[in-house]
Amino acid sequence: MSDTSERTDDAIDTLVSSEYAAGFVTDIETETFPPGLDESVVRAISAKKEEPAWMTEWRLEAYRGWRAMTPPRWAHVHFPEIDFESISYFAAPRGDKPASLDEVDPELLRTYDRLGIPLHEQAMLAGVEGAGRTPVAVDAVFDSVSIATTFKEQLKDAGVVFCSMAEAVREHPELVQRYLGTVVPRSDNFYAALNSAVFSDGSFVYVPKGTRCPMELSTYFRINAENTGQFERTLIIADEGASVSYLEGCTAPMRDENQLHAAVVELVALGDADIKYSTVQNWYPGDDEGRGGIYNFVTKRGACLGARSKISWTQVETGSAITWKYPSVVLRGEGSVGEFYSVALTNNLQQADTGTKMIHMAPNTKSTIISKGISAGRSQNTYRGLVRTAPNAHGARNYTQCDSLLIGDQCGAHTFPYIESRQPSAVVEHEATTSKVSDDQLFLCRQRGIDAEKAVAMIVGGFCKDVFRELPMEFAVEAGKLLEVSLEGAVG
Amino acid sequence: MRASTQGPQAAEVLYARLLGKGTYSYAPAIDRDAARGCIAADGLPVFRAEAWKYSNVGKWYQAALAPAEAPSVGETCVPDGVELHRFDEPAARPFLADHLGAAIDLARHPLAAVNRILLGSGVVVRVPAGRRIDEPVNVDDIGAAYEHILLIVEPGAELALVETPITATHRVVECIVAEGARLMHRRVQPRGQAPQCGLIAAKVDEEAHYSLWLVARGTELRRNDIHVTLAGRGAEAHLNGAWRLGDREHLDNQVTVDHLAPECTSRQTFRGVVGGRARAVLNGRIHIAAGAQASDASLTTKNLLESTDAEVYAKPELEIYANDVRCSHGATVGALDEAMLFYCESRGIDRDAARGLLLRGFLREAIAGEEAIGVLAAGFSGAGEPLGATPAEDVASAGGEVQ
Repeated sequence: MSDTSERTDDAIDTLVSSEYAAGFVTDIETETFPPGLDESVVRAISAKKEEPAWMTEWRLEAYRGWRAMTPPRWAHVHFPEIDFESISYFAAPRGDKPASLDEVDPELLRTYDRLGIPLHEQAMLAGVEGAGRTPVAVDAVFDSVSIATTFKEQLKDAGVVFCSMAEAVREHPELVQRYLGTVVPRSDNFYAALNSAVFSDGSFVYVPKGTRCPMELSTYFRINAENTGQFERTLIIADEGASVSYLEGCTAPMRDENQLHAAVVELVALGDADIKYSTVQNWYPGDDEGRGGIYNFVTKRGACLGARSKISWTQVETGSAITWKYPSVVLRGEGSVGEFYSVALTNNLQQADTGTKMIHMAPNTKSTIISKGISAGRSQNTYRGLVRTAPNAHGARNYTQCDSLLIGDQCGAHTFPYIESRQPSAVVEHEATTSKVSDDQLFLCRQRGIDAEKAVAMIVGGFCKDVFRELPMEFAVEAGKLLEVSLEGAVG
Repeated sequence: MRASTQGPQAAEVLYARLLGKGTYSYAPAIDRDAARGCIAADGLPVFRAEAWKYSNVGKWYQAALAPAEAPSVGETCVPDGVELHRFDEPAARPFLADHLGAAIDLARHPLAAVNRILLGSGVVVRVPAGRRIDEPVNVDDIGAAYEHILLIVEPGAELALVETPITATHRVVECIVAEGARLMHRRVQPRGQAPQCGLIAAKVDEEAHYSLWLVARGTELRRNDIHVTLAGRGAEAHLNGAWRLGDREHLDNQVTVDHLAPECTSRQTFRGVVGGRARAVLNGRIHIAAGAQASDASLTTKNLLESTDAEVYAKPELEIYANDVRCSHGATVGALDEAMLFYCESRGIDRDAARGLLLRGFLREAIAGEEAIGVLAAGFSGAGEPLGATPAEDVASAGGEVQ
């Protein structure tokens, strides 16, 4: 191996081998259901949430459907069978739900402080957290419950509903009943069915007609308890002409066992509405030898129901032992737009099978897919996507670009795009490339006095630029840092 | 997913019925046990299995189980310098022992396993080392529902093969291209009726060169599995295909190029024009094995849809386990560009003729030659569809002249 590539390898090694910073455990008294799943557990979860009968019945039906289903095996990932009887389906910090932030267990607040999640509205508004920054409303979900939602009053003034799912079922049953399960039906797939039966918390957003949500909304998911699964459910509805930007973040402690995270996210955009959904996924990825880490099996889908509506997914996936997720858009409204921007980075023994589906079901619908996959270590990184144009999707347009970057010779990068076209006037374009960090690029940087480590970070950053610029400012900075950290030790 | 997970009993009954059709008396020296083992382990492919997502394999089973018509025996011409042996001749035995199945992974191609078990006719075509044969070998029907053509191009030899499966239910063409050898393979598939499947498998050794030139129309169900293995350093493969489908034609091409050795190159270029109620499927998989460094692979497929009842399914795949590679694929689906048509019309070329010229130009990006265009145009001209057999015909039918 040449001198250049040796140094590159060293640089990538250092770059890729950083510690998972969010891997601590919060020592807090937790109420956990015993492991196992049957109808009584589903009823118990529903009772815990003080849900009305229709919701309990909805869950039970999902549970019965799930019993008859088998886990999907088509993804390019390998893992031992999950024993669904050994998982505990509910875990929550003990005690009543706090009425205000002041009543929240200080230990929990410290946890979110350590993770850098602002739960102190006053401090934020007073500018302590950095003067001049727009505040971000946060819904903090800890294991199976939402512990706090900030800026609710300010949002209420604007007419925006932002609360935990449990609260939405109680306070806004008509909206929940009307939209829950309409985008991702209970029978959609194995993990969506499981989630429908046992989902514990998550966020609910409703933005009324013609309203631009006055601040960014954000949910932060934290798994803390051992041997539990997290099954959150998020439902976002943007009424006619409404607009909202939503951010999602997630972390979990470092443990040797795998933990299951099976979420469902449903987005509904009515006429002229606009939803932007950004995720920085940083679940614990497992250690160098692939021990532990989160199984992230998530169903995310948006429906552009109204004309000229728009749904945009942006995701930065650096965590999880296994990622299985395909944020999709069903374009039913004439002239509606779907977007998917993704950076997926895998290192060590991580496996990712991720991508999107764009289903064009109306005339003049447009979709853009930009996917950047980076594989390092001994990881496997797969893009899997579907673009379908129905016979009535006159003038539909899709552009897809999938690029893969390989770092090291032990990893794999794969692309499986499905294109199904049934409308002559629709134009579907797909292109994909795979390459490695080239010695030429590195040489050019080093010749100009940039050390190899920085050069690799720069090249990776440039590779992901198209996606990062779609992220809200704070997330973009966060994502850039996360990428550097995740890559540490990757070369060599 | 195979039959073992979906209706296993049904698949077993089906398999038993398929076996019931066989006589097994043909060339008993051939090893059929491995094939039986594959079917026993994985079962037969069933309706809705992932690999048969867009083609109803059931139609093929129906055809395979239908009372057999006497298979035709076409012409097989072999120029001087090329050896031809039927599988049941003693002279074929050493070649069968050394090469039969060397390019085929039966576990991946269950219908090829069925072919092996029920094989009714096979030929070995061999070009001795260093011989360059200018005249092409022609193989049409060789007289059975299940056929196998084993082509051995020894080191440094060169050959062109032209083959057209007409009545075969399943044909395997197995190409062994030894070090430094070259094989130019032309497959012509005119429009047909009966369901037909087949496998083209090529094993390309060091510095050897394999090129496939596929001109295809559809039948009620036509499926070509094409599997090229670049097994030696510096091997090269060029796959080109063009198809034009109308009515209810169905054509499913499943192409895999396996880069197993370093410094290999593959290029794939496919063009399809799909109208009527036809369905065209292309699954183009590029697989780069660990250690196959300095691989260079690309695939492009472009498709024109001519009617709202036609369907195009394209799935270009990359599966890469080495880092020093250059791999890309591209796929497009759309309609003829109105601006191009207008350009032609503004220069006095009638719209239909312009369409014909543009379609011809489009298909020629993959396949050149009037013979190909003739196959692709058959049945279209005269029915209000342009793309005549020759450019002159296109323009003449539109009342113009060729410049």
